[in-house]
Amino acid sequence: MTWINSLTAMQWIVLLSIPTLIISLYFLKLKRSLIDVPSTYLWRKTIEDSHVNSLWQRLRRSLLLLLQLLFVAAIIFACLRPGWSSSQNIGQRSILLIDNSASMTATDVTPCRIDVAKTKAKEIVRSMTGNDVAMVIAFSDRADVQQGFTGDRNRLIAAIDNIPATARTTDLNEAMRAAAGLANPGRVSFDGMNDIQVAEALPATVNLFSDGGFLSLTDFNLGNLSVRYVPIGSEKISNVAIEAFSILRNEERPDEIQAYARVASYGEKALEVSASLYLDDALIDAVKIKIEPDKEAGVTFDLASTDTTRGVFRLVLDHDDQLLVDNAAYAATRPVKPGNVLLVTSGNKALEKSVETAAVQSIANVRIVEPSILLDEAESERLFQSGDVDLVIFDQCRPQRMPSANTLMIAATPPTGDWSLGEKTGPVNLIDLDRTHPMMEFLELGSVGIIEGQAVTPPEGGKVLMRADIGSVFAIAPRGPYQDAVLGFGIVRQSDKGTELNTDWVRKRSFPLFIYGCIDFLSGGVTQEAAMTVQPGQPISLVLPSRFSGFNVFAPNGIKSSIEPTPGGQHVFTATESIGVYRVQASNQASAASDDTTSISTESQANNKTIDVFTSNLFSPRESSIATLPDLSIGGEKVAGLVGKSPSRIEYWRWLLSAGLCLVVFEWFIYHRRH
Amino acid sequence: MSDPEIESPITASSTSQLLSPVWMSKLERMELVSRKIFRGRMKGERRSTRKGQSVEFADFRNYVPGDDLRFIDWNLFARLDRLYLKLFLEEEDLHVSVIIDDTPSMHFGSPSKLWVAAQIAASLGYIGLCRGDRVSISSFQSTSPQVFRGRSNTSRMLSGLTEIHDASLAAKPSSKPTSSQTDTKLLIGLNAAMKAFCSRNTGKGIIVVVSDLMDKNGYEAGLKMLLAKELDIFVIHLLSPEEISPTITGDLKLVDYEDGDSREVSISAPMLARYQKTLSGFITTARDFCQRRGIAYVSTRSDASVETLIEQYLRLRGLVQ
Repeated sequence: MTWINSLTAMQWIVLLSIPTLIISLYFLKLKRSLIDVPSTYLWRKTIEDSHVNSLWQRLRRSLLLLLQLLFVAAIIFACLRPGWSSSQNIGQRSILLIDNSASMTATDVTPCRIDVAKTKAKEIVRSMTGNDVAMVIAFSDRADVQQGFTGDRNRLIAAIDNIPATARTTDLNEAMRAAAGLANPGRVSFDGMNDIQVAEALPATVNLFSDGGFLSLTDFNLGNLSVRYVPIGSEKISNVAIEAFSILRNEERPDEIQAYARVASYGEKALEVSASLYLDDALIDAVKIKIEPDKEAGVTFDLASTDTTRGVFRLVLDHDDQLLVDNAAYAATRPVKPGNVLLVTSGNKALEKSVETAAVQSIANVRIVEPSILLDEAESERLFQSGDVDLVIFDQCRPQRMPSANTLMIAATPPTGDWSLGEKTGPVNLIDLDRTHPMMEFLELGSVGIIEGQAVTPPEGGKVLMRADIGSVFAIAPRGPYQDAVLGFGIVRQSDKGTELNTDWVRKRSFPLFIYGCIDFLSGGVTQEAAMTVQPGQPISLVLPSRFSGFNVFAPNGIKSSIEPTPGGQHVFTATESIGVYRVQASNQASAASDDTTSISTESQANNKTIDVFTSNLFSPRESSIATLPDLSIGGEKVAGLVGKSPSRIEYWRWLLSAGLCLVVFEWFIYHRRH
Repeated sequence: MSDPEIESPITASSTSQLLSPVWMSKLERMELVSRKIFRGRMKGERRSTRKGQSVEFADFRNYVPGDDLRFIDWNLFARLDRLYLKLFLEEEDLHVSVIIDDTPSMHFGSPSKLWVAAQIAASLGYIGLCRGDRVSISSFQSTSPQVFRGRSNTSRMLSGLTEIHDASLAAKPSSKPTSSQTDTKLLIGLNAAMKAFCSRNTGKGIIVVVSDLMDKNGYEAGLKMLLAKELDIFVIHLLSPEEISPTITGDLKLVDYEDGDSREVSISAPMLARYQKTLSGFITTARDFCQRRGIAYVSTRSDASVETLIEQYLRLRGLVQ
């Protein structure tokens, strides 16, 4: 026997309280007849003997009570809709596809499109007859099966009610494939046999509740599906949307930042809207934008002074239109991250001077140590493997084990063995530079003289950045999540006269520029000013330092998501549902809480502060163009939208049942009052 | 609950006479008999244990100075030359006390138990008056007994009984006694009534208690007090048909007519059967109690004939002959 729940929880509570009420009324008799007796002396003794007030003593004599309880029990039993499995055919199959993308939050219909879609879907559920089954799928850029095929209307209605409104874009393809799963079962073929269908096809009717704001499905085969398109919304709309918003550094004046936005109007009237730019919730600029119907307009904000141009930018259109989700856009500058650099050198003054320049100091904290530290295994292990260092520069020395950081090795190779150095020869004449690489930008090394050097051969995957007549003398190669750069000639060399310069490069402007470029690139300094942005629900790839044991991402709605660190530092974050700014913070403090006297890191101060930011913006002309399509084309078939009200069945049996139960209680009340 | 809704089971007291002439003529031929011989206060028609003045010779005794010379047997002095005094049996009266239970529970029945109790008292009292006995009539609530002697006081005795009956009806309690009512007008139960009787009555004789014995404080203590007085005790246990065979049924709230105590009860055939069992046990207990202590016990119904009670049952118990 199977059961189908046909009442809600509240209705069950009311129904189950009725037997209790009837029994209560029986015990709390409203009125007993008063009879005078000469003395209750004998009655008292009789009552004491029989315990007349005991429950069963009282219940067993009331046939009326028994009948009424049986009546209520029968009603409860009926509400459970008992049934047996049989070979009776299942009725119509319906698939309710409900669009919950961003455009469905438009308010051109009351209260909003998603609510209207839910209401219409529930009407279809209520009009289902005995053996009909239905399935509920919510779709945006992905499809969520809210409820599988069932005939339980309460569960279907609950599933419909639970569909959330999202800010996602729309893609019907996945939803249709999910809907077609049972209607168009897959086919398999074996060797030498014709392909066969893996399951029996179960035709179904797809009820599509949407505004049609998605790409037409041209290569979709409906097969056994028949589609009823219920357009939600109106064709006459008025909406203004921000379709792009970004911040860029002014190329001519690097200390200035420019904010660009593109605003589009969807409607029949020309509009003039004001756009307000906020930096960390403080209004910093506002402009008026005139937009022609179905046209776009660009707007630029010039923001001087770098001190005040870091943070979260929010552009808001002060216009009350039918879709609010595209009236605000976010952009942010990434937080400043000074790199930690460890220079291992034995008194190379030229190198030490080159890391003390103001430019280097602005992007990195550099600490200089003697190569003797490499002999102290414990100390070098603590320094190199703690994860606090972003870049280690080894000047004519090399560690026992490569550090957990990027390295620049001068006249030395990593101890891993995959790098090789050629024989020392001299002089070395530089021939070519790879200026496309960030480390080599703006370098001019034509007049640099080098007394002696060695050819450098990087491992597989490496890249040669500097060539000389003896071969490549500067190359870079990845080592797991890190990168190792090897320079084939030293800055100084040991000769009979002691330590002397090996090259005159140190006297040229390009040397500190080269060092700056290396530190900027290898220490992980800020290479990209503006934070990345994604559309809601789309995954974003984050590169996060591997020295932290975990990260928390704080969404605009305050929800915290945790990210586990990965060896390569690459993370894919998918919970980007909300429009706004997401902040990434390190979740641990242990790694940065080491002894300050030996730690070269100032990252401890930045610990638990924002490591990275990114934004989520709609930026979808298809969602912002909220005009409802009257017809659709799916798989080459035109699907006309249903106009007017869809047929529905309104049932009154619950009300009649309630009235019957009320009559039972009323009859009981009257019965007791009569007595 | 309001008072008007309570239907009183009491019908208006019968205005017919307590004793019909025919019944009175039958009573005149009867006599109250005590199973013990008591000393009376006045000369009557009963032989006494004391020697006194009567026509029936009892004995002789030696003369002592101071004796009444009229009782000296001069014939014997003449023959023996010694003075002897003749003694005669003394004849004394019999004390007959009838106590009627006039609590409100006696108002039930048709005729009411109280009226039947008054008829019984009138019948026994009339027999006593006809035989010159000292007849004392009292009720539980009365402060002092009414004493009658001689047949000429018959009408006074009957009017006294009627007064007791009417006073009890007039003092019908409320179904829900208020605290003030219970404070100011406490009903006197059987035990208290017997105690009061014993304290004011020092003589001996016959005492007849007519009651339904439905006192929640019990009746045993009161009867034991009478036993201590060495009285010849008769208990007439009077019950109404409503008490013996209740006709009520359904879910009821029974209200005690005396004290307003209420009991919610669902009366059905099994419940009535249990009631009958309880009633039977109640009567048996009372009978056993009396028989063990030499108290004559007679159980009767209020709708039974008083003549039958007097002529058969009380004669059988030896009260009347």
